[in-house]
Amino acid sequence: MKKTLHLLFAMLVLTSHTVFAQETTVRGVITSSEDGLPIIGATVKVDGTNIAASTDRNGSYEIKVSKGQTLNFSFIGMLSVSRIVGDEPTIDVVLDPDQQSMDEIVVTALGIERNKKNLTYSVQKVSGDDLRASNQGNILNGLQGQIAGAQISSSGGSPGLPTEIILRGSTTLTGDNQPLMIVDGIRVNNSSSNGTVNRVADINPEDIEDISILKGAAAAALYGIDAASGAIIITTKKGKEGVIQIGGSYKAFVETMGRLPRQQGIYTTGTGGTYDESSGSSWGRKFRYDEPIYNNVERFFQTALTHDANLNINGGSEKLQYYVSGGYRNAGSMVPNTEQDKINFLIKGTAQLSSKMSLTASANYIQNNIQEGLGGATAGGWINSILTYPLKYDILNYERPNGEPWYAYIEPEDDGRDARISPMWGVMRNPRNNNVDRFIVNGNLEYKPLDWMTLSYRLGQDYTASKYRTVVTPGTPGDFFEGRVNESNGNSRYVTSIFNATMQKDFLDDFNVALILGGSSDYYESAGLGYQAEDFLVPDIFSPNVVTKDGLILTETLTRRQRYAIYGDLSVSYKNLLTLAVTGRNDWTSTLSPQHRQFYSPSFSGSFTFSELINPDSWYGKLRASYARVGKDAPIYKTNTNLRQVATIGGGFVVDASGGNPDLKPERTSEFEIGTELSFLDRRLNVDLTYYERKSIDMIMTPRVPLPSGYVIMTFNAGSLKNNGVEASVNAIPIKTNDFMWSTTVNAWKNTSKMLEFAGDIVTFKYTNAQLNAGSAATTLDKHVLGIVGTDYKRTEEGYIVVDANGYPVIDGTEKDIGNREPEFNIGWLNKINYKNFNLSFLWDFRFGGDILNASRQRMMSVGTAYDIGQWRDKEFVFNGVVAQEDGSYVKNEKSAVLDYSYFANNYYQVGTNFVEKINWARIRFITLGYNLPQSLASRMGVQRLGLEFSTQNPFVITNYSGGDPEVNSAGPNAGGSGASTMGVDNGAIPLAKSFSFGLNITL
Amino acid sequence: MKNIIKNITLYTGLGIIMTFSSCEKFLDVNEDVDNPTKVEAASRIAGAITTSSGAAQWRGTREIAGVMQYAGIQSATSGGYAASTWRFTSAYFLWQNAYVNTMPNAVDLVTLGEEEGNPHFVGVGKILLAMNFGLLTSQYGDIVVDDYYNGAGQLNLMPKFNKQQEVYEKIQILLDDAIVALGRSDNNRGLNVKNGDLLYQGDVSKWIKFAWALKARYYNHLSKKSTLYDEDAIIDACSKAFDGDGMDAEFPYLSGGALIDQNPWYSWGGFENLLNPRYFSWSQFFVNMLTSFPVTNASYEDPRISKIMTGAESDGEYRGTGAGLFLANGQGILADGSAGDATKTSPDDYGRFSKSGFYTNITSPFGFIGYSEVKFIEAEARLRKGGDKVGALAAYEEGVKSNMRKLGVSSSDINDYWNAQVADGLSAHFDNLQQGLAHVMRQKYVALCLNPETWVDMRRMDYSTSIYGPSLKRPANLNTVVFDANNANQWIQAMCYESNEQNRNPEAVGDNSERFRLLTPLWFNVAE
Repeated sequence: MKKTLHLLFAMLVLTSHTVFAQETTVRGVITSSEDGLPIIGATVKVDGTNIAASTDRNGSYEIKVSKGQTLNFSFIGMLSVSRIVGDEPTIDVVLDPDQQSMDEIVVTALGIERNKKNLTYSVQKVSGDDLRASNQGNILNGLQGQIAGAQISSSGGSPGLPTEIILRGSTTLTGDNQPLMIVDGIRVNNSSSNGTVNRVADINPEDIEDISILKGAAAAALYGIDAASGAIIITTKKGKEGVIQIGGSYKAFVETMGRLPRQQGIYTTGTGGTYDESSGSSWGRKFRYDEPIYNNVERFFQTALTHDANLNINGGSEKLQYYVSGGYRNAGSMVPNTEQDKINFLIKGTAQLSSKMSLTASANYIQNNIQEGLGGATAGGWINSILTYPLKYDILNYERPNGEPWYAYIEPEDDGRDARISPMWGVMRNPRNNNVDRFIVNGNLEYKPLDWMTLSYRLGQDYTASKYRTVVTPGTPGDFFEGRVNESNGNSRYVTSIFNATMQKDFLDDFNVALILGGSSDYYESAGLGYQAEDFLVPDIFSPNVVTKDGLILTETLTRRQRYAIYGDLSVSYKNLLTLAVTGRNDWTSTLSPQHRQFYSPSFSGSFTFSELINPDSWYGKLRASYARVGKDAPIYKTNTNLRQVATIGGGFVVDASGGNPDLKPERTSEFEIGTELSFLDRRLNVDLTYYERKSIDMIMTPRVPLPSGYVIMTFNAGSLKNNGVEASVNAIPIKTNDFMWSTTVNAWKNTSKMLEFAGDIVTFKYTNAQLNAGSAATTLDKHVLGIVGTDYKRTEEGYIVVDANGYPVIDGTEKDIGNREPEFNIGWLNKINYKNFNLSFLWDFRFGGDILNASRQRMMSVGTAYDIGQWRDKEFVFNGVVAQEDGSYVKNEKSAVLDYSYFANNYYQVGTNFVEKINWARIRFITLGYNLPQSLASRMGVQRLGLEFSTQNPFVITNYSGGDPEVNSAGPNAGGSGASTMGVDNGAIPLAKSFSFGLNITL
Repeated sequence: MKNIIKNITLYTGLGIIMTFSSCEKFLDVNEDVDNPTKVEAASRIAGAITTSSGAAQWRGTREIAGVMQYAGIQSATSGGYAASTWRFTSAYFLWQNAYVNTMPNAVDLVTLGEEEGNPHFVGVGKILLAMNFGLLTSQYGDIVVDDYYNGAGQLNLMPKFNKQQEVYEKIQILLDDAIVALGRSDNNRGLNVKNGDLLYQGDVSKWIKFAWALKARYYNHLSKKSTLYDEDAIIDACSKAFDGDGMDAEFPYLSGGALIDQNPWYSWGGFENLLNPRYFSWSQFFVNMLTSFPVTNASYEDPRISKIMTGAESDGEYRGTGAGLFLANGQGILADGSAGDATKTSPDDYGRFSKSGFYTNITSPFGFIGYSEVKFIEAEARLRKGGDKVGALAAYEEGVKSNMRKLGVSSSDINDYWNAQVADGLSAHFDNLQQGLAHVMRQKYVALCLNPETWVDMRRMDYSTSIYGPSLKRPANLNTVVFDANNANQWIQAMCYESNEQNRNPEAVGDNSERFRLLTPLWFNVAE
């Protein structure tokens, strides 16, 4: 086929010179075979030339062409059709929809577009529409359940909380486990510094054409030292040749709180069972009938409104196509006094500079201002203070009419410093603001000197100016009673520069050879300046200008990283039967020691389309296998140990407790992947199965080390771990008639991890931000990577709990692995139903297994507000366990024990396993119902298309979890700069909100 | 066609190689331009001294103040409760404060001093290192010395522990080296060129005396080791150590600066909260030490008491709580062993611990070692040597009087006090080792107020009531999980290693159970 085309092409090129005179005008209408309606914006192109036209709103076109030339008719999602121009003046064309998903073009590493048919590794694609159906402001949340093998967990339901995505399990303990984020070929900022939102959330979902997920090492191998966590390749929409299209949408969301943790409403404040007004604990006597009991958790949350408006214009001529979009989102939140105000503006254009050269350039401006609700332990944790606030106080009572703090309890001598105050005071008066101005600019020059060769050069920069500011209003109890303002300003930039030479050619009829050679430079810089100002001299001005010199601390930071790489990618296909590919990339990075800063990453992969041998028309079957070795460099500045200035008398410098390491070398991850893609029933049933095994060695870790090393934490290469798992993605279209179509996709995956090796005598690695008394997020040798360590009850060899002579279970104080925070099995089930002008989509999300460390409950337990305390306190209970006898044997415990304060405080509360819960859930992520007005009605209203949409997000979750929403991640991705540290840790998590939305879509 | 590909590949390759050869310098951006990795020794000395006080010795004293029974607590929720009742776990935090926050600064001083050709910094580094090893070994026993941080960026993930005997030997070697280094005349940069010598402002001779004082102290720790205890070496070291007032090694805290510049017993060490501070009052035991004479336990009010404590607001009396007991239990056991006044349960019946006098005010210095301690060590050595009662008494007298002078006691009060002691039979007491030691140890207890060295003395004396008087009792509310409630002679002997070490270096740490660690006497305290 290709050969014929080439011949034809050659002939046409020849003839076009000679037969120029016979030019005529051809007209026609292009319609769709699906509904018979005209297709607007379809492209009609004279083959071999740059002459093209597109259809207007009636589907009509008109083009000047010479007899004998070929016209190509094409439209996105339709099969292209070619016609040779004869004598007839009219050519009407009916286009068939492209059902052959196997012919999908997917964007792979470095933005290289490849035909999925010949892919030698697993790549999953999520279309912009499927992403938007989720109606999530943060695109990572919108991917939940849509990618087999992606563990996506948000830190909670309040603006500014980050979302973490881990592909195929974590590969490093203290490095970054977030995949590389690429937008239109350049690396973009997805940091969530200071615990705030992961910055990819700045990107407007409306602008996204599709997202490719490069899960494995082979898929991402061309990113070399940056590839070990996979890559998310986001492609934004671009202008289409044809008439101007103007689209607009408006959505309104109403958000209310989701699932909340429960509290007891039986006992009032006190300690040890006696009432004590001065105590903040709820271990007092029972509430009297005449005492009010406030359900503070429910009272705290509110119902909020979000507006989201978008406008986009797209169109262009054959020489210039453009896409312009603007978005505005004002998001309220169920957490009082928090909100988000976001503006997006994107302009993107492609210019055909000559027949061989084109230039694409885009500029994206984002302003994202968030007033945050802080969740989690490291991030302020006032949700914990809500959960523990005594129910005898009304949480909404926090200030006096004159605006001064209203203290719930204050000692006579106290000026308020040690007073108790409603957490609402902090929420309303001490907010944190995060203001971001961001520019992403991107230019790509493409030159096609020969028909089989493309040279391209891309230069892009993602520049983020961000400000974080927190205020402590004077009068706030605690260390900053005289007030404090903390501000940090940072400017970060990612500069990507890539040169690619792509050569593709057929040989000997049946062989297709593609070779890519290229080089890239990747520079990152972040400069910060911050201050902390304490003790305001003027209590209502929150500025460093009103504090004394002693109360002011200034900090400057500058971090930089430079990487260079050269790479090559060679793939050879034989017919459509067999493809073999080899890639190699050599990186140089600044973050490693000079003697180790080079790193080579190879990959080898192949695919075998066995259906070609049998009966390629009725079904499709492909096997693929790959092996790749990729890597990770070190975090910035870890090759040195810096000194810290002494603020005290005498000044000078002292050592820091975090030690660098001048011998750091790259961390290596190698992965073997095997998979199959099968298609039956005219592509109505598609199955994609993948098995992978990945192993990371020489892991760059910053574990806590024996203290005589002189350091608490030190960075070095040590340890290895492995992940293996299966991913299945099944897509089916069970019903398809003229009016009705049901398409369903099931993504299922399972990942299992194991820590293989640590350094020295270290057997446990605890994550900094998830340490509690009884349990901590940690990794233990020979156990799963995302583990929990803590204490348990003493058990017999058979596993029975040992109970002492008084009837209480005995604590085993040794810390050991007591949980695995990684789900055992995940299923995402997306359904799309179209009926006439209605379309309905909904996503089920199932999770089986995996533990949560419920630190919120532990906290509530310690202060006596936990639900279970109301249920069990002071009751008698016979523990299910065994009692040791003098002769060493055990008998079943029959003695009942009183569950008094002392039991909860000294026994229950001290045992980690009491706060580890194995979780299952079934939840609906979203239901979106759309309706398009019939075209006749729409045109009568003067628009091309008018759509209405009703949607709900996170409407319900069925789970066995005792706390709030079981999707928890207390400190977000890379908490404290380290790994997947807090997924599955509920430490004051703000439960996910549920919301309902109404939307309007207009195309002019 | 092939040629074209070849050429393109070649030129691309060449181009890339040329680009990359010039890229090397752009890769050298992994040094933090805002923070130094190395500064001269003169800019490190202040930090090494500050951390020795505010990190290491502070955390080696904070809890031990309860064990040594200097301080009393208000209730079971007081910060000092656990320590006062001997509830120690592997969460005790001296280890990290010494090994990480403090001593690397001393090691770096040594390394930098050697590199720069400034041996005086080497000397100071080694003195501070020796002192911190001494503090560590006196509380933990076997500690890491040989495998310790050496400043060269080595990483030893399984550091071995040295036996305590070796540790004491290595401390002496460090101090010997320090004395040699400080004696060198080829030093280029003075200790105080950056105003960092917070102890002696560049006076090398005082540093040398400091080193000799420490040598005497650590020799003297070995009093139960018949073959190792060397009275003459101690007396010799004492003679080369501090020889007068005003040269004590002590950390000068400030007022008017940052919070951390203040004495921790005054503010940041758990005393900012006036309602329930870490320690509430001084202990009755300490009041007894200041209101009765050794041996006879005859009442006599030491003129230092008003310099150290304030009287009760209610009646001006000096009063303290009992060991391990609370305000609600009233006054502790009196000097003669009789019960105190149990009705004194109001906060106003007690003078406060913090902010009350010489040791707990905002600018109170934090003593490492001083002239008085040297004289008491000398007195002990002369007593043990025997046949030198006069020398022992003379050293003892100077120890007592120098401390009184330091606290600003008038010379007439000093003389009255001394005459009263003499009248109480002092000279005769010095005929007898145990009674002589009672004098030395009780005066040392007073003079070394809140210095963790007192705990070493109490253990060396086996917490003997013949030394400390009948009011020394094990604490009430004793941690009976570890200690036998019925065995009055079972006292706390050592600390658990920090869990941070136990978890990361388990084999070397060995048995770190509380029962083993808290009950087992350290090597220095086993007679042989």
